[in-house]
Amino acid sequence: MTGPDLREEKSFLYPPGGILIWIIVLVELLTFGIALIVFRVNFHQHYDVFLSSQNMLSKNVGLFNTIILITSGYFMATAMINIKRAKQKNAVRWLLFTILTGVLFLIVKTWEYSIKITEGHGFGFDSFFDFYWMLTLFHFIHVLVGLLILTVLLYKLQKGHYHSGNYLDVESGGVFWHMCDLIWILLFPVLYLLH
Amino acid sequence: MNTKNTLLWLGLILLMLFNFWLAELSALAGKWTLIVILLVTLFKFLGVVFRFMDLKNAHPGWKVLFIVFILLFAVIAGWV
Repeated sequence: MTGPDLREEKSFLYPPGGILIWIIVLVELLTFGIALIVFRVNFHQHYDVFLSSQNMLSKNVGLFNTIILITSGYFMATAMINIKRAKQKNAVRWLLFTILTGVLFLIVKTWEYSIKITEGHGFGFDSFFDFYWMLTLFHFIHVLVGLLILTVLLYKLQKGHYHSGNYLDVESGGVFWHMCDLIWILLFPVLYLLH
Repeated sequence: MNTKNTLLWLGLILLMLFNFWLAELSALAGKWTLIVILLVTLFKFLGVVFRFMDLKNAHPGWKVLFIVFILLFAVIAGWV
């Protein structure tokens, strides 16, 4: 597969990264979007319970993780620019930074989960935490899958499989990674901040 | 490094911190806080989609799809 030229990119059938990954992104965003709207409806129906449980979440940890994911997305975009400009070594370095920040997100999230479980706020504690676990674990799995994809891409990039004339796979992987960022951009304010 | 992307990254961090500070601020009226937080979320979403995901180089149909999605999400999340 080769990098699409400008004429192809302007066609509806050839968005950056290929049409399949963008269909996946839309479906995922719709799924999370609907779940978050249902969460908001439940928040209003059981306001006191949800507000009290929301206050048990660590907003600082949520903020830190948001900054990590946004930074990771920036690193991915930078890696992509370097591939297109035929700066192979730089691309490898930025893709590695992307993966490392992604791993850091999972470590912080796991630590947050362990605190919640220790406090007894696991799945089944109340409706708020049922939503919290369902939504954030689903997102966690997406980040995990994204990291696996990026690791394979990094390996093949290092081997010289991808370059300025052949980068569609990396672009698709990047779009998936940014999708994890987008989902978190919706999750964080709704779960942690809005009431 | 790309200057526009770097500026967007810094802007996203600042918007995130602003959202966080606003949510912590109890002095503001609830409804206005909610509207501003959702507006900031909307801008962050569009920033990532258009620049980091390179949708700015895609067919206008894709741009419309994502703009409609985030507008609908923000309006419904703010309304319910």
